[in-house]
Order: sequence, then C-alpha cells, then structure tokens
Amino acid sequence: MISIRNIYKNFGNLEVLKGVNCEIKKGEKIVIIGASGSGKSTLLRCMNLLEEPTYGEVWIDGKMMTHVDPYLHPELLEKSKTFQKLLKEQNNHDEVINNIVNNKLLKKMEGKKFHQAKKEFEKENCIDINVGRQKMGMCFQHFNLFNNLTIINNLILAPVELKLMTKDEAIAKASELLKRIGLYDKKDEYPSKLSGGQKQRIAIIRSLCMNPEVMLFDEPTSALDPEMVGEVLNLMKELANSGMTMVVVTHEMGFAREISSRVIFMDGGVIVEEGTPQNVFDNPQNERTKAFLSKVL
Amino acid sequence: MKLFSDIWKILSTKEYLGYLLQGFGNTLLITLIAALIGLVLGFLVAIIKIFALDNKYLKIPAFICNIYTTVIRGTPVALQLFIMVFAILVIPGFKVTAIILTFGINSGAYVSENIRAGILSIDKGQTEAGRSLGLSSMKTMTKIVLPQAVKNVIPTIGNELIALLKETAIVSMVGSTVGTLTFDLNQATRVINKSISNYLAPSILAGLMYLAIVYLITVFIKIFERRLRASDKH
Repeated sequence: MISIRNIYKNFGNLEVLKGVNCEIKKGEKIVIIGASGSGKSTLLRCMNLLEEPTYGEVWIDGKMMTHVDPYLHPELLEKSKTFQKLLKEQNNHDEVINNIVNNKLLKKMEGKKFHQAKKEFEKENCIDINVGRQKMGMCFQHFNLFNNLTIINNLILAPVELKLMTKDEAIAKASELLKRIGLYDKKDEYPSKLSGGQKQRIAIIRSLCMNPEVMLFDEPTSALDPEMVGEVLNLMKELANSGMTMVVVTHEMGFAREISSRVIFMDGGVIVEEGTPQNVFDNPQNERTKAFLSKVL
Repeated sequence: MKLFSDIWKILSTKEYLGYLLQGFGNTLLITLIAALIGLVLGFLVAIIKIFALDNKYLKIPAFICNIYTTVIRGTPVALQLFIMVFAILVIPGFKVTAIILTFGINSGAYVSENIRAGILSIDKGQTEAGRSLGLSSMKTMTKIVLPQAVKNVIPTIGNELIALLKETAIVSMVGSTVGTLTFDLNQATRVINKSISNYLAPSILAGLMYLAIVYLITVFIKIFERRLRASDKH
C-alpha cells in the first residue's frame, strides 16, 4: 500500500535518513522504534511528505507522491547524456548504470530526451500530493487540533472543504465517532478546554473522519500525562483490531509488542533490523538492537 | 489669559472652527484611505513572503517584496512624500493621489511585517495538521492559520494605524491649499495662527482632536480584540 523507495533526507549538512526501503501492506501494523535522533519520526513524516525526501520515492496505492528519482529507474538513466558519454568510455551497460547510481553523476543539463522521459514518467505515475494525503491519517505528538474551531468543526473541516461529504453527512459521521469515544458532550467546546488525552483521541478521530486507508502515528503518547496514556492506547488498539493499516512511532514497548505485526528498529538513519515483535524483542540479532532494547525494556 | 480668550475666539468664530474641522476631516480621510491601501498591500506582501518559503515560483516576487519593505522602512516618510509628489507623480491634479499613495505604500511595509510576524507566530503544527488531512496550503492558510493570526495581528495593526494618523501631519510639507484634501489638521493650526498671531491656542485644540481620535481607535481595537479572544479562554 505504501512503498518507500531508497529515501534519503538531509537537513542542511545533517543526513537524517540514509537510504530507507520499506513496503507496507494493507492491514499491517508496523511499529517503528529506535533511539531519539535515529530518524524514525522523519521517516514517518516522509511517508506523507510533511518532509520532502532529498532522494527517493514514496508510492501509495501504486501512485507516486514525490518527484521521480531517476537513480531508481535505469530506463530513465539510459536517456541521459552522462550515460551516453560514459557508455562510449566503458562500453558496459550495467557498469555504467551502477557507476551513475553509486556516484550520483547526473547533472542539471541532461538533454531533452532525458527530461522528456522524466516528465512522461511523472505524468503517468504521479498523483497530487493532497490526494495522496487524504488516504493517510496522521496523528502528532502535540495533537495539533485547530485552536480556532470547536471540536465538531475540527472534525468536519477537511471532509467538507474537500467536498468528500456534505456537511450533514460529515456531522453524522463525526457525531458517531465522538459517541464511540465518549466525548460527544464536548462537541461544541474549543480544544483549549480539553485534557491531553481527550485532545489526542479527538485528533485520532479527526483523521478517521477522512476514511483513511492508513493511519500514521508520530509518538502519540509522548506528550501526555501518564494517567492519560492508557485511554489513547486503548483507542489505538481498538483501531488496530478493526483492521486499520497502521504505522506507529512510539516508545511504548509493551504496546508495540501487543499490537504490531512487524517491528522496525532504526538507528543512524537506516533500518537496522525488522521482523515480528517476537523476533525483534525476544531474539534480536543486531548488536545495536540489543543495546537499545536492554536500555528500554 | 490671552490663551483662553484666543481659544474661545477660535471656537466661537465660524471661519476658524471651520478650518479646524475641515483639517480634522481631511486628516481622517487621508488616514482611512491610506490605511486601507496599506492593509491590502501589507497583506499581499506578507502572504507572498510566507508562501515563498516553500514555493520556488514565488522566490522572485518575494525578493521584490523584501526590497520594498527594506527601502520603505529604511527611509523617512517625508523623503518618500517629496519623491512621490515632486518626482514620480508630477501630474497636475494628482497631488492628493500622490500623497495618499505615499502613506498607503509606507504603511503597507510596516503592516506586512506585522502580519508576517502574526502568521509565523502560529504553531507550525497547525499547518502540518491541515496539510496532513489533505487540505491545500491555501485552504490551510485561510481556514486555520489566518483566523488565529488575526488575534495576534490586531494590536500591532492598531499601533500602525495610530502612527499613520499622526504621520499624516507632514502633508503640508509639500504645500497645501484650503479646500483640498491636502489641508490637514496640522496645516489648519498654521492658517489660524496667521490670523490671530497665537500659535499655542490652535495647537492645543488640534492636539486635543488628535488625542481624542487616537484614544477612540485604541478603545475600538481593545473591544475588537476582546471579542476575538472570546473563543480561546482557558
């Protein structure tokens, strides 16, 4: 469903992600763990392009949200001037391609043919970034409810503005979700009147109002008081049990073990180890995974 | 005692009082139109600068906007007035337009920075939440960020309006004629002074008028602000 292809992300001179590949299938519950600064939040934010990857591509449902990364497509590289030039010197097709990819040899001016091919590829495969994002709900560490709107308006803003539902449909859907989490009586309050746990639960159902195909969670419980963590985790468990595809960045290891179908451990901007929670938590293979888990478990 | 009798003389003489009221009206009118120009211009400039942060097509417009704010805020408004009236819009009958444009353009530079600061003061998470739901950057701006930024911007815009009102006192530097918009409250005191040979009396009256209108603006801004803040009381 989501396909992350060779993502690099630099912030100035700082390399945060150094080539991450990841396939997320429908119904999977993926938990990303790792020390702070390991790039796990950045990876999650790259999935819905809140951070634009420096290199690499993000695909959702077979459609590309990023710009095309020619280094991932040999058939595009073949059209470039650099390729033609190097081919005369080396005369070995595969070697030239590898040379270009490994040393990032493409220049700004690569000729008409190359740009034509690039454009055609994008035309064929790209979807609008806003359309792609509608399929992905996102929950933030600091909830980010819209402070200028009441709870009910927070929930219906996006579906109504994007004309996915009429106002009445959106209100019906939002009310149903509010009742399910027991906060229907707060529907006309402003977010500043709610507790952290309530805000985060509202933030989760705000994303659900868009009927997303996948939900991304960026440390949803880190900013909460301890006694409110439970209510948010319970809602997330409920969501997981209902079959929602989820990608969660979290420090709640117990929760990770309980709901995840796959655990990804990141360190230094790359995926170091991934597997079922039993494998990663009880029988880690990599030294860095062992070191991290011994500190947090 | 001469002061009081002169003040009384001004207030009771239809001609003098007429000068003061005419000047007062013109000052208000210049301020009002200039403020509207400034608001529209400032808003546009602020929006261009904000969107240019992640839109490469706006880099050049944003560069021009930066020159605009730098030059306008870096030079005296009196100088700008001279240049506009005696060098750029030197067309007979366009003096009033030139004056109002000068104040509007000048005010726009300050207002743009106020609005920009107001928009930037809104937590980035608000924008991210909007964008992550699939809203366009324009929709996110108009539905989420701007409504919140307005609350932060209103007090500073009020300050700017007050400053503008008082700045208009320099219009007489480019020459003013009774009966046109160039005849402002400040100029009225000079005209009255010529007849009664007392500068203090008309100045006190004009000062009180300035003070009254500034106070009125302050009160209005406060009421407006309180209304807007009603939604986020803790």
